[in-house]
Amino acid sequence: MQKHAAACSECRVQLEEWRAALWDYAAFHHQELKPSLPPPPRPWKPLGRGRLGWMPRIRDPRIWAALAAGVLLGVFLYQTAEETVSAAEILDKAQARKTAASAPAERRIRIRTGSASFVRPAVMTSEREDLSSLRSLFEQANYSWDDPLSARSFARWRSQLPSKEDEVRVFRNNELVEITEALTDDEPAPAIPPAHMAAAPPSPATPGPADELRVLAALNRLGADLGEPVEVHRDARRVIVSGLGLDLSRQDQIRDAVGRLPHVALRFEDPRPAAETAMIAADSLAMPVPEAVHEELEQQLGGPAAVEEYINRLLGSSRIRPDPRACVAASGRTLPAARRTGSRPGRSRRA
Amino acid sequence: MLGRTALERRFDGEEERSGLTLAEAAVSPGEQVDQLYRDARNDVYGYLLTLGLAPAQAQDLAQETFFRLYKELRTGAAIRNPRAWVFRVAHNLGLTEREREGRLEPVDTTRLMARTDTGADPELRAMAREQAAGIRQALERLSAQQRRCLYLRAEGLRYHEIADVVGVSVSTVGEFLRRALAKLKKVVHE
Repeated sequence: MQKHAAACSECRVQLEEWRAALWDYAAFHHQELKPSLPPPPRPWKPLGRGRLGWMPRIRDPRIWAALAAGVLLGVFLYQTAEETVSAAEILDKAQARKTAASAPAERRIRIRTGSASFVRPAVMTSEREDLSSLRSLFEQANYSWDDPLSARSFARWRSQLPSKEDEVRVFRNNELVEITEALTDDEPAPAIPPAHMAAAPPSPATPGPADELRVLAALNRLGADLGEPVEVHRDARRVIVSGLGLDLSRQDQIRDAVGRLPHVALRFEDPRPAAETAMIAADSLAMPVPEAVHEELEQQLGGPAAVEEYINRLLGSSRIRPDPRACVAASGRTLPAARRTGSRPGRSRRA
Repeated sequence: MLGRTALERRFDGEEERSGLTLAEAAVSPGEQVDQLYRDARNDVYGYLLTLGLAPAQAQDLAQETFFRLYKELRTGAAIRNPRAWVFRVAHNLGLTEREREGRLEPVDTTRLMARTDTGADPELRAMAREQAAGIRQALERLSAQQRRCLYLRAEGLRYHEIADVVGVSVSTVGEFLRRALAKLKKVVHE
């Protein structure tokens, strides 16, 4: 039609007239007709949430995933959130509860130290000469000896600390004291020997996990719990510390560290076979090695390098590396101490 | 008078083309209907008045029309031109309401025009008043179908959309508009 109108002047003029008439009507429509219509009698109601009750439709699944993740995170944080309570607040509550509660019956507690274990009343009302040494430990630590398990005693001790860590395990002299409430009344009170505790008090007949932990801690202090053939295991009667192939000095260190602990049994073994032991014994008898013998060996084998090679071959053929000096000694020849080679540190001598 | 640029834009269909398929749009159906409700509720209300409905009825049916649009979009239906869609639904609702009440005679909207032009120039105001009177006279000579087609064309609907609303063929719409404009031209330019 546009092409025809462009080519036909008569139709183009007529089209323009129609368009002009339509524009005139449109102006009339919007400026005269519609404004003259009666206005709506009531205000327009909100069509959206008021009537339809629709919700915005979220089509992006990532938004839903983010919302779900947020909800899950919120639930997780809510469930795992720990309420922060200060130690002072707990102590105040404990003291108040202790005050409000009725006086408990006569309670007894068990005190276990590194070398003794005994039972005493929870609240001491009289002096005991046999516990004076332990009492002095408590006094040095400014802790109540008469009533050690009460919240008041702990609060009093805690209040005089310059820096409060709320974790006390040992005394300053590393004396480990473990206090638990004795639940049975049939235990003798006190089960303390009359003499000094270190001399007498029998430990429990059977070792417990605490005994094993003490052993492990002692080995840890020595650095003997990693990389060395030292094993610790506990049976019904003892905590057995076994070492395989340790040199004497190391054995002495371990013996000093754990030998005094209760229920500890030490077992040090040497994996070398009896023949080797015999060779070492012979070696010990053959010392010192005459220089003339070594020189003769060098001459027969072709020099010091040949001697070294011979010894190395001899060592390489053995599954357990023997002491070369013992080998030479067993063959009737010995090496001078200054030329010993190939021996493992700490395995050259046997007591 | 309305500026030609605005009229041309409306007649060229730029406004209606802005209403793409709602299902393809990024916003939700509720937001789409809300926007269209704010923009076109008075137009639909006026068209319902031309069908002979009372203002309160026209307002209720206008709101009902947009509510149906929302329900239609919620079903996932693709509506090419929501503006034309609401006029068609309003037309059907209006006629149904009129038939239910037994009112066959539409309100003569041409007689409602009593608005005074507030232009500053007395001469231009007199000319506009004279032109409006001529159009009013011409409209009185048109049939109801021709007036509806003219009304909807002025609202920006295209021929096929007007045909959908009124319920006639596209060629009939063209013929209605041609005759109506011929009468208007004759009156206005005589």
